[in-house]
Amino acid sequence: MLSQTGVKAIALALTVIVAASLGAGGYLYYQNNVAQQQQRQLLTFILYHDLTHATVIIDYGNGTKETHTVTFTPGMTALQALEKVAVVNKTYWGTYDSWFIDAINGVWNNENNNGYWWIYNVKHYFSLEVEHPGVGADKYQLSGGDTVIFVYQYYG
Amino acid sequence: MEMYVVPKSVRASLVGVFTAAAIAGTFALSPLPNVEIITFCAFVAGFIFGSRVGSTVGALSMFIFSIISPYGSGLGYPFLLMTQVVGMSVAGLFGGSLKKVLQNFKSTSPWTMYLFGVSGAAVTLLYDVITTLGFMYPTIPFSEFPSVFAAGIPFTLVHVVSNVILLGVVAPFVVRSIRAMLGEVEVGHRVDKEELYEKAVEKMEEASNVEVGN
Repeated sequence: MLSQTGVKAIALALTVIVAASLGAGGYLYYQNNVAQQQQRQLLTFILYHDLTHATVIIDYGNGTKETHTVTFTPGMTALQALEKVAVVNKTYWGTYDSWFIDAINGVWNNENNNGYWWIYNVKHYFSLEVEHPGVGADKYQLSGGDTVIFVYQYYG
Repeated sequence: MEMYVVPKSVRASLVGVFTAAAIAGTFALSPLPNVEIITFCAFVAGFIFGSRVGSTVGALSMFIFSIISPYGSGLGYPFLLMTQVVGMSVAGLFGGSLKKVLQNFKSTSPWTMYLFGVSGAAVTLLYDVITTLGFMYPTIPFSEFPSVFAAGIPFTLVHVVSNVILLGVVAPFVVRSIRAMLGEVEVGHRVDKEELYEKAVEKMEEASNVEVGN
């Protein structure tokens, strides 16, 4: 058994330990909160940047790929995005009221009857799948963050 | 004050009673996250009846509550279950240690109440730290301990505050009531059968004012 002084000493020691532990815990919590806030801010910036831009990939089918980022504007079509980053030769087909891409950066469809043609696919920002649109590139409206891929592909 | 010697056979009953109270009380308080009375029951049992009873109450109550918990059985998380059981048995051990320290003090004296409260905080913090480690092992590396522990700080705070109130404010009066019923409980006393017989004879003689054996 202890005297009152001994009991007070034990009580004081325990108080110091508990206060120090709570203080350390509070500090860790604050640091964690600050780190989480910074992370959220960073993610917001990244998301803002990504959704105000579109990516254009030109795949020449021989291992050469070009990736470009363009500023997205509402109503922008896949063809408009391509024309910002490449030289495009196109023909207007009145029957379909649509522009048909003949060449990108000097690479022509079915050049010397090689059977290769330009097609395009779209991948949306929040999707894992690549979509093959059923309309011409001049008719397909992009969304912010979209990736449009123009591929020089063999069709026979 | 008359000393009550706890026979071994009674210890099992005491453990059973305190364990049942701890589990039932914790289930009743389960809508309140991180508020439990297992620490309270283990500590009080340890303070009155000794470390052995207290630690057994803590370990058994936590084990049973964890495996039948409606929020997920502890059997699915064996390391967490182990640390929970160890953490609560420490509460009982602590109570038993304080019994010797506060032998000459009334349970409702200000210093006793303060020591109870701060002990409750210390024991609860220790429990939360070791159960966080038990929760992390083996899926999360221990280097992530600061961020994992920090994420649970609000719940830890609720746990600590509730146990400080239970142990600092409620427990002293519970201890006083039990002492009033039983007297001061002697722990670790080796019962001498001759001594017991003589005491029993004395009490009978007092009751009947008749001398026995002459």
